[in-house]
Amino acid sequence: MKVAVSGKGGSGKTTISGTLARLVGRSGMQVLAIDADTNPNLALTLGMGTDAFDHLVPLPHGLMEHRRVDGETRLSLSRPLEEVTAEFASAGPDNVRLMMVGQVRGAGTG
Amino acid sequence: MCSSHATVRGLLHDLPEDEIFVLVDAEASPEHLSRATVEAVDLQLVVAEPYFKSLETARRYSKLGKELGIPNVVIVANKVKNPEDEKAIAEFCETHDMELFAVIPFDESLAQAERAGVAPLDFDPDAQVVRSVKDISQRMKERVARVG
Ligand SMILES: Nc1ncnc2c1ncn2[C@@H]1O[C@H](COP(=O)(O)OP(=O)(O)O)[C@@H](O)[C@H]1O
Ligand SMILES: [Mg+2]
Repeated sequence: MKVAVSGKGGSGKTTISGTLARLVGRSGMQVLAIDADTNPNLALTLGMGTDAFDHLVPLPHGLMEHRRVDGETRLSLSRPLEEVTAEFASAGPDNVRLMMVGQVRGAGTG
Repeated sequence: MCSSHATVRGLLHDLPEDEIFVLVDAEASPEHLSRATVEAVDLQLVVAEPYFKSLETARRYSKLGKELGIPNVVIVANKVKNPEDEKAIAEFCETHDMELFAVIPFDESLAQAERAGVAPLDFDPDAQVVRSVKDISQRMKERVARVG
């Protein structure tokens, strides 16, 4: 299942996302949590600590290539998913892996 | 910024449906909907607080999610302090044809967890908010199977 959590800033998206990811993971399922906020803080709510946070690398756009899938041309991973998650998702508690997407890499690089 | 939305959109399409649980913590801006970033999800949880601006945002985001073709778009009321709050949200949802899926009470322990710098679940596994989210985790599968 794929779930998106949306809503106004401050409404509780990250609190709910982090807790939901952990609880589903705890039940035995593999979880991929994706932090798509340009001001990310899901790692902290998952309980991953600030050390882990500073080392997280956002998924590079270069990993995607244009492909024709199901009658439309869209971006698709150019490498196997397992490889990409192994390299760009960090292991957190309760079977949760965290992937950062859409953040800038440093001041002035966006 | 355009490319990051396209990247996430593609990634979500590529991710498998069944073997793993995928959860996207979207940003507050409506671009995750207007740019079709989260188009491939099965369920959109729209979080709303019991005040007008938050509910209005939830209404717009629900509409955008449905227009995108997300098969299950539901409201999660959060920081609900009393029965009046809950009633106001329920009425708003009813009026605007939104499904109120869960109600999470205001939970003092979150501020304490934040001060302590730990995850809500680690701070107090029995906290009200944790129990409410557990309820969501148990019902969402069934909710998605019903329509999606
Ligand atoms: N049910 C709740 N009760 C009390 N405080 C809450 C609740 N849910 C979230 N909060 C608090 O509200 C603030 C914003 O929550 P957050 O999850 O970061 O929102 P968002 O990701 O939508 O911006 C945080 O300080 C969080 O601890
Ligand atoms: Mg957030």
